[in-house]
Amino acid sequence: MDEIELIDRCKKQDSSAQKFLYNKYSGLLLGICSRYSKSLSDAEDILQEGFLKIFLNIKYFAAIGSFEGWLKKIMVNTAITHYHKNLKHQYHYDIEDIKEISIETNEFEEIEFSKEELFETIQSLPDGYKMVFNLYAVEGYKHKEIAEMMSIDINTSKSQYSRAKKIIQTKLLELKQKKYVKLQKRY
Amino acid sequence: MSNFKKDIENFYQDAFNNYELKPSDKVWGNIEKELMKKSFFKFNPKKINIYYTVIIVLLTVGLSSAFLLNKKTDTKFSAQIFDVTSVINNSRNTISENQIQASNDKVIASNHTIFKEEVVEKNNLISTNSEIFTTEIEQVNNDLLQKSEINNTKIIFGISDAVNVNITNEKADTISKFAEQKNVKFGLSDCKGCAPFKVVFDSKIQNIGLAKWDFGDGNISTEINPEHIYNTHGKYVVCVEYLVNGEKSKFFDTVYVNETPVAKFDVSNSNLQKKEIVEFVNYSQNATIYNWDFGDNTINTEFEPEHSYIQAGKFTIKLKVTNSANCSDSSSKELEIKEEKYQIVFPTAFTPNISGSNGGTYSLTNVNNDVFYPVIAKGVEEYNLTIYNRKGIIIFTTDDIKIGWDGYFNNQLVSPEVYVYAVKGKYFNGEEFLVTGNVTLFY
Repeated sequence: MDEIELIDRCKKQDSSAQKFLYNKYSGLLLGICSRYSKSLSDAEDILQEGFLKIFLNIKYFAAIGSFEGWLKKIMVNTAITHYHKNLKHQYHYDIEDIKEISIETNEFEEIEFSKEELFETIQSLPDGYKMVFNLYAVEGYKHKEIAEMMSIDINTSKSQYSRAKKIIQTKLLELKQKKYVKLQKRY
Repeated sequence: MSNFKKDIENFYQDAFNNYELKPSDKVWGNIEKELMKKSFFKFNPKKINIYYTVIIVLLTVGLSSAFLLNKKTDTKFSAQIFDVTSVINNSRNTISENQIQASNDKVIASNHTIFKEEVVEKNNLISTNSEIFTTEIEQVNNDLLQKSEINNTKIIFGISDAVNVNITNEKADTISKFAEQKNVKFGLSDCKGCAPFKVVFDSKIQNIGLAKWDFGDGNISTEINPEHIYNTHGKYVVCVEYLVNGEKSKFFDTVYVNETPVAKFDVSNSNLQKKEIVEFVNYSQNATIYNWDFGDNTINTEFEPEHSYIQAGKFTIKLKVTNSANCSDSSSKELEIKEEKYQIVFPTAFTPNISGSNGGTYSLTNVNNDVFYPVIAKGVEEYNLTIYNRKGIIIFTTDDIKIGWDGYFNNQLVSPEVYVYAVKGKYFNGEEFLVTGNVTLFY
């Protein structure tokens, strides 16, 4: 089944096509959701909600631009809605006191960190920062777009991003130091 | 080590561009269930859905009421009717009219009328609903005029004598529930408030037989003195039609509902000590004025202020936001400020600069990690750092906290191995400390 046929059949609410679409994209889309949520079960909630939106709105997909991009955008938007819904209940963050160290550099050697380690650094961010960091750094949205999507001020987006980046840099640095110690002990 | 360096943005983007995770099996099951539920409520001639179910239920009800009516006069016939009902239930969407006709002509007739009436009534309801949705004044006016010609209705525009309006600002506040109540005469365009806005309409006319209210936001009521809550901001044309002593009269006027801002904020750092700067992140929407109360008798009107507490304890921070229409909302949050904790923390490894000694000066912003120094030093008054090698020989000592160890001994770079450090001193509160540990030096 090629993409056009798949979309066409999904528009007709063909359940086997829906299952096919789900199987094809659920992994990738859960990867996105997981970055925006605290736990895997939260991510799966977002995934489920997002897929329902996809199936109910696929008739409006106009085939302008990539289908995958459209799917991703829906997931990201669902994640934002989810975040806003839960905002009220979450006040406390468990970040260590990292205020003492400030870092100037932007650069790290990528080779040093595994995907899991990078994922953990994102997961460790406070919720609001996590949203903005994901949207800006990973999804590549502009601050103006983020401000509109999250209905926050553009300056909030900017300041949150820079704070998030600071936290991430600190975490990476700590990680790097730990690794060197391990490396040193081995020899 | 590779020289391949990139910005954080780039390498996070690369790492997660095609990042995949396998969802658990139950997710698809849930999606399928939801989709089935949705399709049940959607009309589709090919599938069993709510419309067919409703038709079947109506038919069953119609038939059984006919059956009950006829029960007294004809017991034989009742058995036959029962058969028909079960046939319809079994075949679900095919109504075998012939069978019904065969059983009793009279029942068919009555059943059909019942069904028809229900449908007609439903249609009427839909059409009135869609009419109500048009809130443009002109259109409403035209509709009213047209109706008046047909129904011979008396129209009076915005007459204040007809209705008393009682309005309440319904916004539930997190700090205090405030409810301002006003008596406003209907028709003076004075009916203004912040969403969600509760309006109590109090009819003044005597001997009202029937009243039909259209609140202008798609909702209607037949109560004589109804109350209605407007949840979204906007301008709503309210229309009431009275039937008094067989004569119809109509009144209408406008309700203005202003947008209410949303107050929402967060504290960007946790685990706070007194004297530390607390940063606030403001998520409020649609507001122009911000009033912060930090709970320690200080206030601020900035968008995202910073504040530091002089005392430790629990503080309730309040944010009240107001917009240009003078609608406001508030939010509060409790924050715990701990007593200052004095501490000194050293890293476990460092990499000296192999090109030469720098004398041990360091800056907290330098990330090269080429000097050994306390990364966290709070409230330190007296300080002495001594470093020993494996043989127990002192290779470095200092009383100056601003000077760390750069990895050199007698201007010679020492060999990469584990060194022992001992730190002793006194905090500002007089408490003495002695910390010992290992530091790995490598290059």
